[in-house]
Amino acid sequence: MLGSISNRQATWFVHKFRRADLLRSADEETLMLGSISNRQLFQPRSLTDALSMLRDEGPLVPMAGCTDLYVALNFGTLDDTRFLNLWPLDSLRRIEMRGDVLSIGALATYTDMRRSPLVQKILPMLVAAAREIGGVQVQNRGTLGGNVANGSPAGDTLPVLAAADVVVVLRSAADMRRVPFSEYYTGYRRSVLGPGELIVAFEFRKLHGRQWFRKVGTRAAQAISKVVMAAVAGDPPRIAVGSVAPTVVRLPSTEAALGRGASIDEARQILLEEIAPIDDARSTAEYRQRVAANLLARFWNDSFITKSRRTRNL
Amino acid sequence: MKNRLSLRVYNGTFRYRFPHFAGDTMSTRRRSTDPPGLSRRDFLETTAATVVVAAAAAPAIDGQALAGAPTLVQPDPAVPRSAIRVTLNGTARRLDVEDRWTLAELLRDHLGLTGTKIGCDRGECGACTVLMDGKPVYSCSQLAAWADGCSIETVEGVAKKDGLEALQRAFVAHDGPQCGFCTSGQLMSALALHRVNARPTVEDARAAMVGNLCRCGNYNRYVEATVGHSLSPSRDAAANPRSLGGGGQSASPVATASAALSLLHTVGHPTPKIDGVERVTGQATYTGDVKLPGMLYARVLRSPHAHARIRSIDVSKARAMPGVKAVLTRENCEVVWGAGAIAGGQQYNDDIKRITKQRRYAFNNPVRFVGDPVAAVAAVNRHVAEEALLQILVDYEVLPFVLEPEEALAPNAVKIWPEGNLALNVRNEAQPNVQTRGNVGNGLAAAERTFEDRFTTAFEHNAQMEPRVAVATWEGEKLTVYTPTGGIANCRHDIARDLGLPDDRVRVVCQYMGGNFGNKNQNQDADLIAAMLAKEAGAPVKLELSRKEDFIGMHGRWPTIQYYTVGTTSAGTLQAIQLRAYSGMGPYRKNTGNIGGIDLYQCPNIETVVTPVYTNKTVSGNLRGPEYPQGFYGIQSMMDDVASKLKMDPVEFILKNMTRLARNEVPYTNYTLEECIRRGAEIFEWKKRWRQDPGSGRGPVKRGAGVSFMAFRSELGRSSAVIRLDASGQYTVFVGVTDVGGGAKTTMALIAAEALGVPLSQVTVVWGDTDRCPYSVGESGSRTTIMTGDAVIEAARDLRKQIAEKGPPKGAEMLVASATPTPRVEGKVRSAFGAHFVEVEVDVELGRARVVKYVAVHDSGRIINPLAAASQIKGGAAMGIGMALHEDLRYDRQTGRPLTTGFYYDRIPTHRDVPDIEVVFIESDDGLGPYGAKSVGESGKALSPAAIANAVSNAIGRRMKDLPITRDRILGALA
Repeated sequence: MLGSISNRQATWFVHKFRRADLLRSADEETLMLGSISNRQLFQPRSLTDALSMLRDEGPLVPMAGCTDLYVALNFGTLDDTRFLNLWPLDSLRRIEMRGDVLSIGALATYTDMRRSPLVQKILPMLVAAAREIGGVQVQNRGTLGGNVANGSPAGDTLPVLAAADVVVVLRSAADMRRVPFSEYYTGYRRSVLGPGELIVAFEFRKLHGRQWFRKVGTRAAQAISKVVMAAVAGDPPRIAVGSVAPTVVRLPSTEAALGRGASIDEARQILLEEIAPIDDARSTAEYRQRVAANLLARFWNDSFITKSRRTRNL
Repeated sequence: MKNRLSLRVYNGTFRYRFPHFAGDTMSTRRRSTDPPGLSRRDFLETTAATVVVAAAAAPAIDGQALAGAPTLVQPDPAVPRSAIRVTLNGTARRLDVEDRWTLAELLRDHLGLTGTKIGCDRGECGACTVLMDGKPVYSCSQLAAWADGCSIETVEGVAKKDGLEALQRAFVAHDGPQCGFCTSGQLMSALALHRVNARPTVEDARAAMVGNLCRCGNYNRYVEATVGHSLSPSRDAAANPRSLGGGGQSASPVATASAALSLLHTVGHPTPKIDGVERVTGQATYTGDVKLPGMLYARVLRSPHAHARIRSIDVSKARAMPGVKAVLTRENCEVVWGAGAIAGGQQYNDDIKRITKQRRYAFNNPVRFVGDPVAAVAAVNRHVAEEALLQILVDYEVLPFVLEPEEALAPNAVKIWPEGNLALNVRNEAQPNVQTRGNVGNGLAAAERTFEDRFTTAFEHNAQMEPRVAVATWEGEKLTVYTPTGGIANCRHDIARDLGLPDDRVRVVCQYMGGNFGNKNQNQDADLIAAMLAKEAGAPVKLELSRKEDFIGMHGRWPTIQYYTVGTTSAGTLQAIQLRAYSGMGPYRKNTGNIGGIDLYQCPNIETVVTPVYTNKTVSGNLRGPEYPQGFYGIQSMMDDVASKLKMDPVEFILKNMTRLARNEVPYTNYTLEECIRRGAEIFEWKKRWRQDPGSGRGPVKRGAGVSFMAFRSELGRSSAVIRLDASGQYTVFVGVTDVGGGAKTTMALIAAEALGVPLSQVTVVWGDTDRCPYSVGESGSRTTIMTGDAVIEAARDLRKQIAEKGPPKGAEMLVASATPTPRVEGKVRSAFGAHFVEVEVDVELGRARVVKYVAVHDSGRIINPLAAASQIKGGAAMGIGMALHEDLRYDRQTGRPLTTGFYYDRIPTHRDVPDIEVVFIESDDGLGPYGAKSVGESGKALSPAAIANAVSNAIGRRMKDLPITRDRILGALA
């Protein structure tokens, strides 16, 4: 009987993955010549299996829906050669309540989250974020764990996780630990995730206050964010912004100011001190500053002012 | 080679490298080295399944199997393979796949299921969408091995035995496919939606298909097909088919305007494409689907430098690799790509070939832009070809480069050519393009008011969904090239000239093509490279460009800088227009670099000086109305601003100053421009939507309206047609058209049926093959319908005469008629007219502009097929939305490398960016062209950016002087 692919390790020559950038400079090309080696795909059958492989065979790049990896591979910007395929591990796809905590498995796709009644009820801003990511095809493959692991400051779910103060559950072969999201990233595309660790789940506590999410991309859909914001109109409010700093950021001073009743103009000024956007292919620092401040005002207006006006009008 | 099985124990589980089998995968011969642990039966089943599937689908042209011919690629012994089980289109299969194959590659290259297309190969465009366990996924971004245990549905599996699925019928009826390259993907996404939601809303449909791009911009039609009704039912021709004998009865403006026209039998009735079924079932054979026995795969190595001299190229390692069959560089391939630098945008000819100083070769040294071809390899499969490229060592002497036209003209700028950076014209003169009338100096001096401004437009890529591809094969001394080209005859002529062959030794075949937009008019260097590789290797060669290569290696719309000075009377009558402009041509002059639009205005004094300049960016060439969208944007923004400063309604300003005689002096064959504008303003409710006080809307989301107008060339010219009648009563029309997406085949069938006086079902069209079809001008310049249509009518007349004289053919008899008319218009100018009205909504806090209402009024003469013609206008307008708001091929000033090379970064419009575009035809008949038909194809695009830019300016109260009007620029303008 043939072994199914999921219980063995396949070694592959890269094809697509060596569909490397054929425009590399002469120097880079020379370097590339030494690296024509097989790339390896490790196919674990279970989480335990995956963690063992990570421990024994590491370093390995975990892969799931590959919506980011494929673009990097196609661009020729990914030099890694050994991959750990997590996609078949269905146990990491669960969305469930554990006591009063909503647990979302790392492999839950954007589609899974959009369709989950639990997420719809407890984290509508995550549903809003998932809806804005790519097209249906990407939503069917992209995962929450992947968005976090990829670590792009433009990742659309990251402000949601930051605003919700999610706890990231990490597992290694020997251990499990829970890391508050605010401590997860340590720099641009850098995190506390150890070489033998995998992100396995995200734990959310219920939030008080209306949730709010806005993404501003380069076109109406299928765009990478220029600025993305998630916020919760609690007391004090929670506000997180993406694409304006090396990592997604919470705005503690702005939150505190709004919490103590500062004017929105004052809060906008404080926000500008809390973010550090740059110019890149998608946008300019100046645009991002203005839009982040405008989004803050819009969140505040949508959450409180509009509502109280309505109340007055009634 | 010897097969070995490597076994390793891992966590108690056997893990092994699956051996693959030497020799032909077709063979079921017992191998001496069947792997232990595998039963022979398993092995045979696996292999046999592959064979059965591979041999299943092989549509043939001329008896030659094209798509999906059984795979003959030698398996590489070093490549691991896996056995997978999938349910493919409802049938359980066991397949033996290489671990490196993507799912798209398995389907297309190895199972012959070529309905699934590859547009970007990195999960951005959706052409490769298949359903995996019922969910749409990008098959280009999945490994085939990951499909193990899954159900896969492709476009080929949608139709059932008893016929097309309802959705497929709707796709045909609503004219979903233009070029059809994205259709399979759109269909699969819509199908997944229909299974969970049988009555989706327009928003549901857009959300379901937003991951599927369509460069033809036919989003309205895909949405209509998915929701099952038209978006603008009151006026859209598609919604109001004029039934035979019932024309003029409907209240729709299409019919009202047409009341004056005589009613015809087939022409003028909305007709789905005659090859619609092929396009919605995945059966249409595009060049990339062609597979010939023994075919090799090629790749091109391109310059990573914007400007460099090649000191040496070492190909010895690449050449020595097993499986590499040919390597070309400038050293063994001196072929000149004539059409790659023809200075005038005209047809390449012997004179140009002889005199031109600035030759573009298939491989150039020095290389002059990032993407200039340096070497090419053909190998037994695409992977080996790619590996081989990486073994080529190129020693570059990097040279300084220049990216911007005005900088390139500075005295100390690096010279891209010895003659300097002012691009030479066809006569080798370094002269700007100059047009004058009257005396601009006097006109400006006498003007009561003068205005000056500067506008810029960006490099816009054609971004047709099908990346360039060519398949070349030699049979003796005869070369056949399968290639997507808008004009098979001109393409053949160009290839023959470049390779030094007589025309009749070259055959060009293009059955279906995935978009053109001017990008595939002449021959391409890919055609030449494939042909030379095939010659060198002695085997057929397929050369496919990646999306990135297509973006940087080929051409798009030239970026421009336009300085206007305008003089008027105080009452707003134009006295003088002066334009000084610079166009960035890249390092080869593939087109004029002109800027159109001045002639839209009735003005006694004009002067335009347009300077085409060489730069080290990607080459500029044709893109849908080559010189018009950027020129119309520039001058119509300028005039909109002049009107605003004179406190005039822009519509009034246009009516006062628009062209009434071509070039101020020659009458038009008929003139409906004023009607287009007045009708459009009325339907759009211009007075209500346009803000007299720009930017005055309340709240952060402001609305504004804009208008643009045009007179667009609609020339007559030479083409040929042959019509044959056989004893069965079937008429076969031979025309040298391809079908870029405008529905030319259907148009020719309708014209033939009308001219022959027979039903459409009695007409068959043969197209797209130079060995079978007579000369046609090719699908560029919005002239196929007019030129080839006239030829069809002439041939039909002749045939009817023959039938009258000789009687219908009997037995083996045939009657054949041919015609090559060369109609001319004397003393008049033939023009199509139109006006676009756009309302936008601008969020001034986020900078986001959205088109919310769009009315396009066109006089394109008599409309041969209202369904396809409206799709063309819609698509052009949709494309214009991208040019106006998003698209920009940007470069890194430090390295000279393009930054935005792909659908995500270059951001062509998506389903969500394109609203309902309402198309109204004012039909007319000037007695010329086929039944009075005029040009359609480019005009929608030409008008769109100007109207959108004017609308944004009206909404926010700031003139938007640079395209694209990105969100950053809107906020910047408001700062």
